[in-house]
Amino acid sequence: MSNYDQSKISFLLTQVFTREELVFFCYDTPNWQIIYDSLTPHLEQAIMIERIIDHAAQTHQFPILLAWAEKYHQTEYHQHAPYTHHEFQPDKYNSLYIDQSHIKQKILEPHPYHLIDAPAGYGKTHLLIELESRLLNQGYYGLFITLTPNLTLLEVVQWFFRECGLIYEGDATNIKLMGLKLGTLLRQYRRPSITQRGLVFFIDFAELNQLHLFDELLTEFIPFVEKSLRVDSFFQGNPVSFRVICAGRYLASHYNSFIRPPIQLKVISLVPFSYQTIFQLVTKHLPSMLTDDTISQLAAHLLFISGGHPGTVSKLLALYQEMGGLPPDEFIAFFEAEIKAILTTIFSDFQQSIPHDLQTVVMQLGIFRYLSYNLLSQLIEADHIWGYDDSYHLADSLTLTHLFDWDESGRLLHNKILHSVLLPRWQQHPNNIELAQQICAAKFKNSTTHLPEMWLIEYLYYTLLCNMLSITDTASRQKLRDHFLGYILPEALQHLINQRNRHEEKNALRQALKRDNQFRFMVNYCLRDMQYNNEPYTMLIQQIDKFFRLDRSFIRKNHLD
Amino acid sequence: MTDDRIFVGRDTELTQIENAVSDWPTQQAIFINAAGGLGKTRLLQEIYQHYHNYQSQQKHLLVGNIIDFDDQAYHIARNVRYRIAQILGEQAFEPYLQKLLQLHHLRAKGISQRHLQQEIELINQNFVTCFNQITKYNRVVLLFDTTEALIEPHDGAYLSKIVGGLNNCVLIIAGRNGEHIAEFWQSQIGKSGQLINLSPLSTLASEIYLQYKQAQHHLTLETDLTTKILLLSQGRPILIDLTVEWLTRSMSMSWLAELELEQLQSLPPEAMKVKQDIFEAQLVSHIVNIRTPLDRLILAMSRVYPLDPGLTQALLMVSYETAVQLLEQVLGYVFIKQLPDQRISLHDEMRRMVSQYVWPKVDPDQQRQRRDSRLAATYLSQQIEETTEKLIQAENLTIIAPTEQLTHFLQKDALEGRLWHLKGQQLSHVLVVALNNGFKLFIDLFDQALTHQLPFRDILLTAIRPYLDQLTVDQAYQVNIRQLWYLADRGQYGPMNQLASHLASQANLSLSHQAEFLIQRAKAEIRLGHLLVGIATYNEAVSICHQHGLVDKLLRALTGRGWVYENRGNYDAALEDYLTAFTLSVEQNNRPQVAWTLNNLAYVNAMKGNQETAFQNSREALELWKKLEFPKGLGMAYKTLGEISWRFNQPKHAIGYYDQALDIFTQTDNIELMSTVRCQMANTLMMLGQLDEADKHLKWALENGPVSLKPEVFFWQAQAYWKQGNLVAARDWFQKCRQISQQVGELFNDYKSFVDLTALMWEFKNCHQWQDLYEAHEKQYTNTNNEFFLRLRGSFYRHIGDLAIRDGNYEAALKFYKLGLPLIATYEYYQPYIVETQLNQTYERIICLDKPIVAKLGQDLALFWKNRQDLLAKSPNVLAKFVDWQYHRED
Repeated sequence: MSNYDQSKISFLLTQVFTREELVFFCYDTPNWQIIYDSLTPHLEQAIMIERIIDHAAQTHQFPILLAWAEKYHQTEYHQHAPYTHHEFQPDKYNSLYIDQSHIKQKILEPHPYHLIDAPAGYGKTHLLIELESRLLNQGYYGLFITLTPNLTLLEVVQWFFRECGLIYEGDATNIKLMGLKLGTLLRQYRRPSITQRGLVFFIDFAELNQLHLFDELLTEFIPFVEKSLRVDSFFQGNPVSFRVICAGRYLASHYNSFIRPPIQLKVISLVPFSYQTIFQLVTKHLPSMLTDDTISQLAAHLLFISGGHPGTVSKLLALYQEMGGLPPDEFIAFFEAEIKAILTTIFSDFQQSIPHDLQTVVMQLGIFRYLSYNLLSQLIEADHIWGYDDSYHLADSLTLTHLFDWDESGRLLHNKILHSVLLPRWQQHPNNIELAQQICAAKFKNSTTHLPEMWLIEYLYYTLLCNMLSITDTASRQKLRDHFLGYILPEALQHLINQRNRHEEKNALRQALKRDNQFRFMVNYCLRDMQYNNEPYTMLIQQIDKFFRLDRSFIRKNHLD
Repeated sequence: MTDDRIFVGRDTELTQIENAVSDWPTQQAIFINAAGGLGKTRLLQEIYQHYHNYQSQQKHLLVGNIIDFDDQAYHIARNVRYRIAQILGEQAFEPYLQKLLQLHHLRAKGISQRHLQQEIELINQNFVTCFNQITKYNRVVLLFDTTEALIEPHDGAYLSKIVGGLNNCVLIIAGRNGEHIAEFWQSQIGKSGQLINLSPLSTLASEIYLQYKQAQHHLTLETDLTTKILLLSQGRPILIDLTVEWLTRSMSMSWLAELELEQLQSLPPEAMKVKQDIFEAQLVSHIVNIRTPLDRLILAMSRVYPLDPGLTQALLMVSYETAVQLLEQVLGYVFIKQLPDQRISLHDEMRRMVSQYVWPKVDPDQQRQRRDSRLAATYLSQQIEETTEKLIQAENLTIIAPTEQLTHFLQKDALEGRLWHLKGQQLSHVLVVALNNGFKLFIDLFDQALTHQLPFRDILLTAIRPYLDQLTVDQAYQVNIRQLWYLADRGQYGPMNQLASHLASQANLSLSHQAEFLIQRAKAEIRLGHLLVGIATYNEAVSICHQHGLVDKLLRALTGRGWVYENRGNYDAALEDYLTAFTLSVEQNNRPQVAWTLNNLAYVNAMKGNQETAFQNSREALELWKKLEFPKGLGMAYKTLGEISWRFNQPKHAIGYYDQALDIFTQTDNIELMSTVRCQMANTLMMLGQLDEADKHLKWALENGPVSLKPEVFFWQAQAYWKQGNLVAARDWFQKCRQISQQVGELFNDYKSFVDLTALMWEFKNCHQWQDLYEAHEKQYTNTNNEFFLRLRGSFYRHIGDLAIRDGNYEAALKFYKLGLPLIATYEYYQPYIVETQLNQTYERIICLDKPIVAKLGQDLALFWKNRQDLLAKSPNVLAKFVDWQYHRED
């Protein structure tokens, strides 16, 4: 799977290069003859560029393409750079996929306070430990505390004193004073250590119900430690000389409710694993003699079962290792019960860790990858959502949690985390998937809906999910593929262009598909032959192209232009 | 805003202001002009703080807190005056406040809009008097902000009306349209002011400011980053504030970090502007994610403001306690401002940025905006109910101690003001939610806003104006017609004329609407004294109505045109129009209109000398009003009968009729008409030689009538004294009439009195004063050229001619006669003042001169008249008179 940002590269080629230049590129460049041969004088430039991109992706020749682009239009090339996807969105990245450059860029940038926020099982603690290791290696004096249940603020503060080997003699009821004193004593007795690079607190909120402690640390303790340290010239001139990195579940939404936060935490959310991450994880942790196909197949199964949940992936991988590295399909079939047990345990943990006030909403809305005001209103009116009677209020409550983000159009709320995590659960409750499928169908068939191509994709996505539940073997999967590509897809496309500008819809759909790796995965997984690969998705794209070509001919033939 | 905010880079401006404040006892107006975010408000705050501290040491300097026009309540002039009164001490303004209370009582007695406006003018002058009483011993500094919130082009006029006449004060007026207001100040009210074009902070000042902000937030930025911030913020403190604010909140400013400094520094101005726009967008882009309650609050506040806890609770759907906490906590942010009533609002520049960069992203379909407006409208509806309830309770309080009356009135007035302010806000939100509903609400509220609530009509019109293009043709018509009525009620005939002309000339207008706009335009023209143009416009309206069977409008057009003809002395044309209107009214069975038209016919027939017909018309009107049981109509009919009787030399009958009219108007407590009738009775009694009785009526009108009627009363009083032969008293009363007329803006009575004073000079034998009188006249009375004034001008020149020739200055006299007599011949129709009658008086005056002079005058004027074919055709008898003078035949 390419790590290149294909839409950006496509945009560069479209905006900057002439048709002639592209033709010459295909002609002049080795291994591009096949594309050159496929070009016709009347072929639209957009389609030409699509073929170029696809060829580059399939043959891993993006570096060649980009080098050529840079050579011939350097200024514009740099203007539109970069051209690689990071697996991680800004401020979000995976804990188990540790990329030094991202850590340095994000967590180690000149900002002193961070909050790593994610649901249970995302590896927050692991990440915190990794960061501790790196910062200590850089020369920071670090203190790592895991907050166990029922700890009081006083106990936490006293722990800090003990860990530093300091004694506090004073009013133990005044936490602010204790904070000031800690800073003073550290300067007095630990100055060489803390001024080598700085001082850092790692605070792991391991349990859910520690909001009170979180508030108290932020308002009563940390600011006063900082105040006391800033008296020292070392700490005064260096903004990251004193750092605090917290990790916890659903703390971001609580933190966001501060109008004037006592300290400014930079929130970093963790996202589920992508296919590539799991692929690399498998490659890293399993014996190197496994074939690429096996790794690929296993990674696909792991992603589908776990929804990308890091904790689940980790446990499944451990189980696979324990079972001695069977063929992936057999592993899934023969150890279904064990796998189910893992999922049940993890889901139970996950569900319990959701804050009470979010539970209902999360469970009701988690099935949807995308939400809109209109959809929320529908769900509210149909009594599918309780506790809210206004879609805007509900949407605001969702974005507060950092679990939902508005997309660029301002029309869709993207559910990046919950859907994946809850996917295994939805598979046990087909009614919910069918409901989602019906809702999405109604949306894209409605000629007044905005972004119908998004809802079409959702409809297809849930259709695949629905059907997957009844798939038991390769033969039934092949039947599904034929039915999906031969009937479901064209019928849906027909509805899409009904009463709409088909040219606009075609382009919009193509763009939307390119951005949706999760859908691509679902297509490849649900419609695969035996081996997981990109073939089903390629067929899907071909079917879509074919539909629009036939449609255009039909229209021309019947003078419908 | 906190007091510990740094203030940099405005030393020049502060010095300028200091000089102005020290310039006792002048009025100094300083206009601070600047784009948004450059620190106008901060400057005003600094000025306030400085002089407030100074005030405690120096007892003779008073400074008021900022009056911010972002608060719509201050779009009502009365509220601004009241605020100033509160700032300086209500006790000192008690006479003004008492007058307000009296006005309130007067309104309840059905005073006409025109007189009401004049009454208000006088009361406003009272305000100025009270203010100037304070400033005899104190220098006052008044601060005004956000003048761009006032609607152009009336913003300058609005301000100058309130503060133009204030003495010994410094007016510091800040806004994005400061230059425009300064120009208005200079050109329209003839006073010079100082314009300060507030420039962005200098580089050094910006650096100091940014350093301070970093220290305040315990933030240390890299040099490159600070340079970028300084380059992009271009000396606008608000942008520096926002950048630092967001950086301390760990908002991602990766765009800023990734920007190449060298590249930025080498950008040409246009490209730099693009970057600056992007920078602005970045400063508010985080709000798009709607992550925090603050994001929600900012979004809501950018469209619904100002906010109180209740409205916040409604919009954000939080508990009241949470809403209170939220509002308390946001107060410290630089982009939040707090109004005197504790409600909060966004800094207008922040509001602009959120509207421009955030709303299109979070709400591409504008559904969220509608929802916010729906919630706001619902909340405001509840507030309106509660306030109405309180107002009813206040109004139902019947037993109020005299010492409490003023307080009670002010409380009620404040409640009423708040009520209408809420209604205006509600309207603006309902218009967003559902245009049709908003339109209906507009009509309801507009029609509810009666005489004393007129200023609120302006707020309602302002709210609906942006939606005019979206309304249906009929709906737009309803709004436009109300706009015209409003302008008429406010006496703004110039703008009314302009608007009506524009509306009448629109393409695709229905004929009915076109006719109506033409009628309104004609009315405006008449009010402006352009009678001929008014007639032409009425002609157009009549033609359209005739052709297309628009009977109701035809009736009004004919009545209007008839009135103009009547005023121009074209009684035949007036009769024709009134008769046609009468016929139409009868056919329509519009009995009140029949009665009114009969009244008009009676009057015109009287002017034509048709005595019997005049009386018959009037009696028929009377009978009809009796059947209709409409007291005002009845009273007017008796009044007309009185006038007719007076005209036909039946003063005793006239008195009888006036008595009946007076009874009716007394029963209905119509002070205005009572006063008018008493003036006419006084005039009639003077005819009967009952001067004492006449005097009593005039005194009553003086004491009880609206102040705006005083010019009329004073004029009649002067006439009464003149008839009595008491020339000194007559002269005094004419002068009083002039004074009061000037105060209330009654130019006509002012001019009339001036002309009669000139005539009186002859009686006092002060012929040598002709030169002074002439100069005074040319200075004060030659700007207006409508027919009413031209008649008076003609008479004036004739009087001046008489004085000049008697004073021995033949050439001047001849010049004046040549100026005046054509005017009289052209425009005067009233028998006692037509040119022949006036020439008779002139002859009586000049007969004592040497015969050769009289002969020469006759010869010169005869030649003049002969050479003017238009005058000769109009008044051939005048030539005969001049020839008679020439040959002494008049003897």
